[in-house]
Amino acid sequence: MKCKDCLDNLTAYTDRELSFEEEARVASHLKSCRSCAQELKSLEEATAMVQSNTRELEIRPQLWLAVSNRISTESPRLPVFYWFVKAASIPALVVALTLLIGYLTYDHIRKRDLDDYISQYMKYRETVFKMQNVNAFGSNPFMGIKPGPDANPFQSEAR
Amino acid sequence: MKARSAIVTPAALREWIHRAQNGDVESYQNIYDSYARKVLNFIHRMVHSPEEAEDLTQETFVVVYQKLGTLKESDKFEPWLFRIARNFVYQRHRKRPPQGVSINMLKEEGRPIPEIVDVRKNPDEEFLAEELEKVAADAIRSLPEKYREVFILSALQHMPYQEIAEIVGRSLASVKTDIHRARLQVRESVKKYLKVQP
Repeated sequence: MKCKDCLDNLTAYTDRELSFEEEARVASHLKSCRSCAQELKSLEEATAMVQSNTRELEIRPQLWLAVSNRISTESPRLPVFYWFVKAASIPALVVALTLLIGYLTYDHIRKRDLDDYISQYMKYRETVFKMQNVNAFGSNPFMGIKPGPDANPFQSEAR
Repeated sequence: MKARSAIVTPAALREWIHRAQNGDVESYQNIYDSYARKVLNFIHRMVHSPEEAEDLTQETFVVVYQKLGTLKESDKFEPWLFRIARNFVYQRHRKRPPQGVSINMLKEEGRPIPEIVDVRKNPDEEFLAEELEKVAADAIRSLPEKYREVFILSALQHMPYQEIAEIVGRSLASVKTDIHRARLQVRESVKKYLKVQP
């Protein structure tokens, strides 16, 4: 590892933010490079100096009172789509049920009409079939008689 | 990775968030108790004014409560919380001119400052400690905002780089570079007081 690579990684090294391999490489370089080791020490000392001399504010009880006063009148806001779904769920259920009942009624009526139609059609067919049978077997006295050559007076002239 | 300073287990936090989302203020108070100090100090170091830090912390926790229902992953709560706090710092503090008032100046003006108990008794030690405090505060304040926020979150709040990247909305590589540059600048500001010179 070159000194520049080591120096760029020194802060991440002290914060334990390097991968296992990177950390090992930096540690190995620091053992052999006095200059980089010196740089590490001064960086650590500077950070420690600021950390130990930085005053921490304490939370005052009044702060929670102020927050709780402001939040006590309301509940956490849920996402817009949640309220949309919640608000729309009852009308949507009513519409869905209405559509379902409507469809079932329509389907029932359609099937009943179809049954009626088929039943009427079958009756009609039976009637037609009977009439055809009557025509075919005897009620027409001219059925089966072929017209003779003289039946048409214009036929012979044409010949 | 370093341990988080907030003493709260992920399971407990998940439970508190779930309850608070349903309007349980007591659970929200548990969340507040665990994170308010960190948020207050983060904001304070960004804006240098205890009063404004308290004001913005209050705003942060009100908005966090209101928006808690939109948080999907409870393990992302801390970066989400600090992102809201950071937004307040940038939105509200930028509207006002920089005050440039240090803690020491506030002391002189006699304004009340909540602080930790000071166990140092020796006057010389006390004088030196005050001077070092001023040097440390000035070192942080002199950083550009971009570096200041990552310095505070990494060196003083001990947050993992990945969480810092989520808070500031920059890449992990960029945050790593900024943290290193911030530390170099801080060292430059305090080098007079170091035993080991760069």
